[in-house]
Amino acid sequence: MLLLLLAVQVAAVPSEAAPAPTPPVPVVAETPAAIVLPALTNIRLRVLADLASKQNATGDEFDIELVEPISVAGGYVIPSGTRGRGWVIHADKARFGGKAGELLLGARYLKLGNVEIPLRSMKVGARPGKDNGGLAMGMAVAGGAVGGVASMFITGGQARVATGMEAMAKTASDVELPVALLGRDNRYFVPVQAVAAPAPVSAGSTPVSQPK
Amino acid sequence: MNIVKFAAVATAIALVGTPAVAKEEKAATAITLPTPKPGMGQVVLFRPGGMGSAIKCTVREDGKMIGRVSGNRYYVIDAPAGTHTYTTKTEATDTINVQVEPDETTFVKCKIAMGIMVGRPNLSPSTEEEWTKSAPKMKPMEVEKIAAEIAKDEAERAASAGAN
Repeated sequence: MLLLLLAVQVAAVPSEAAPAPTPPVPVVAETPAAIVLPALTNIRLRVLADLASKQNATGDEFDIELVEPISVAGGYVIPSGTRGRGWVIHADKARFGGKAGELLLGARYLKLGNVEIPLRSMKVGARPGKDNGGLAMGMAVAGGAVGGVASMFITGGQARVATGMEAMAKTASDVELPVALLGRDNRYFVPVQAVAAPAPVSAGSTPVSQPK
Repeated sequence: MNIVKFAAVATAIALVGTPAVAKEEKAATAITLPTPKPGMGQVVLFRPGGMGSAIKCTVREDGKMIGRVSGNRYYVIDAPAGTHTYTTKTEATDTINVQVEPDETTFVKCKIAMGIMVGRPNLSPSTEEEWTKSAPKMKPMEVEKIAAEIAKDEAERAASAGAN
C-alpha cells in the first residue's frame, strides 16, 4: 500500500527534465508597400506625335510612352506602354538665307496610376532641317548683287519628328512606386519570403546567445 | 654615288616617318572638355568654321553677355540646371532655348547665315556627335580675354542703364 502511494506521488510530480512545449510562431508575409525607382535609370521612350519646326512652338506638349518595361526590383516592372508627356524645349522655323528648322524635345514625366515619374536628359534622333546656308552664300558670292538678293529667298529644310520615333531619357529623381501599380516580369519575379515573427520574450527566458 | 644613295634613303625614311609623327601630334592635341561643376551643368558653345569666320558670335542671357566665339573656336559656359534662353545679334536677333541638366554637357553651335548687310549668327541645338566631328579643328577661346570682355560689357550695360 505504501509502495502504491509513493508511486502515485511520483507520477503526480511533473518531471523537470521534460522540455516545455514550444508555442507556435506566427508567420507574417512581408509585402513591400512601395519600391523605390532610383534616379538616373535609363529608359527607352517613343514619341506619339508628329512634330515639326514649322508647326510646333516652344512649350508645346505631346504624348510619349515607355517602349521597354523598366525593371524596378524583385521582378516588379513598370510596364511598357506606360504613358507620359514630353515638351518642345525649342522650335524655330526654317528661314530665308538657308537657315534650317530647329526642334529640340524634352521628356517631362511618365505617369503610373497617380504617380508622376519625372524625366530628364531626353535624346531623340530628330531629323534636323537641311541647312542651305552654304548654297545661299555661294549664290551670293557667285551672283553678285542679283545673286545676293536671290540667295535671301533660299530657305532651309524643316526639322521633323515622326510618330513612333524612339528616344532615350533618364529618371530625374528617386520615386517611390506603390507595388500595386507595378507589373510583374515572371522571368525574374522573386516571391516575397515569409518571415517568422520573433517569439514573445518572457521575463525568465535565457538569452540565446551573448556576445563575448 | 654613295652620297646620292644616302640622300635617297634619308628622304625615304623622312617620308615614311612624317605621317606617324603627325598622327601622334594630332592625338596629343585632342580636346578634353571639363566635367561640369558639382550640381551644375555646362553648355559648350562652338562655332564651326566656314562662312563669316570674321564675325564673332556673342551670346547673351537676359541681356548679359555670357560667352563669345569666333570661327573654329569653342567656349564652355557653366550653367545651373534648368531652361535657359540665349540670344545672339547682329542685324537680326536669333534665340535658342536649351535645357541644361545637372552634371551633363549641352552643345550649342553658332553658324553665320546670309544677311542683308552683314552675316546673321544663328544659334542651333547640337549634339555630342556633331561636336566630336568638329572638335579636331576647334580651339578654345581665351578664358581670361572673354572674362575681360564680359566685365567690359557689364560695365557698359551698367553705364547705359544709369544714363537712362
